[in-house]
Amino acid sequence: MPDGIIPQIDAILLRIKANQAELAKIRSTKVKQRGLKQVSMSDSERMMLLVKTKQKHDQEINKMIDNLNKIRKDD
Amino acid sequence: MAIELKKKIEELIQAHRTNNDNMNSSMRESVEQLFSPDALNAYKKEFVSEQIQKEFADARKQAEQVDALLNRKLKAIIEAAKKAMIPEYFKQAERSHDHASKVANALQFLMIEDDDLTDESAYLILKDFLDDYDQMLLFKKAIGKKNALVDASGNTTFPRTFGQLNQMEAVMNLFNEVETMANNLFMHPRYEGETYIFNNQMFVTLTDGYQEMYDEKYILDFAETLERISNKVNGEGDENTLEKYPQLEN
Repeated sequence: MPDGIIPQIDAILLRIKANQAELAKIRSTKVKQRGLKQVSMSDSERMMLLVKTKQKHDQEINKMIDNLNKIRKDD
Repeated sequence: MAIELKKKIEELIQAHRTNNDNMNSSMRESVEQLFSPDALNAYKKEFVSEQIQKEFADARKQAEQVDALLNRKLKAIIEAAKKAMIPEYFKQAERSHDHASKVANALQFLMIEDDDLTDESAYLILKDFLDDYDQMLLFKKAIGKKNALVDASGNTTFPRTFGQLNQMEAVMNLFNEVETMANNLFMHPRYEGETYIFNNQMFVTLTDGYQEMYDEKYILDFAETLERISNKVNGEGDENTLEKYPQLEN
């Protein structure tokens, strides 16, 4: 196992933490921006936004984990 | 340089516990949101159940992903500590072009000495190979066929010849124990925590089991021992190391 694997794992863990914070922020969001105005956000809109963001995060993390696995295979 | 293995493992255990807490608090948050009077008035019971099930599954999946990463990091940390403590094990010994004939000569001398072989004579015969871990292991096995390698009290009878090798083997054995425990340290099956019943369905938060806590405690004990040995090698040791591991005394 190469020594460089530890910073890579740390980077993924940090990313996951940032993603969790982003999801928590979306969960607590009550308003959305429409042009220059702020209008209230419905539950269903929030849910859709959460699902989309989660999908984006999953893709991102899976890609990072794939890269990590590649390092291990190359070793 | 201190390997700080115990501190690093403690940090990972703490990260694992925080991860567990985050998972459970996110599960509780979903329950609070979806079981609130507002939500129950707005949505059908089936939708609420389904949504909670989904949120619980997501929280669990994410926690397991983090745990898997923490476990990988743990293994990498142990591997790095092993490399730092016993570099000889990983380093390919430098062997001269006449290595085979040197080994043959040494074996011939050992055969001549047979069961009269003493530590001093074995040392003189094998001193060129002391840094070659694999080779010394083979010589030790060969000598062990004819001579007792430990006395009645369990002390080595060849301290000068095999002292270095014995020390390395003792460290290797400790690392093997640590590695065995580290394999699934953060991936033990979880047990049921708080229970919520809604619409004839049960939802439970998750908690670590006793096996995990037991393994965490023991891996820290082994890490501490390894650290103490490493400090002793670096001239910072204490007398407890030799009391617990007399085989480390050359």
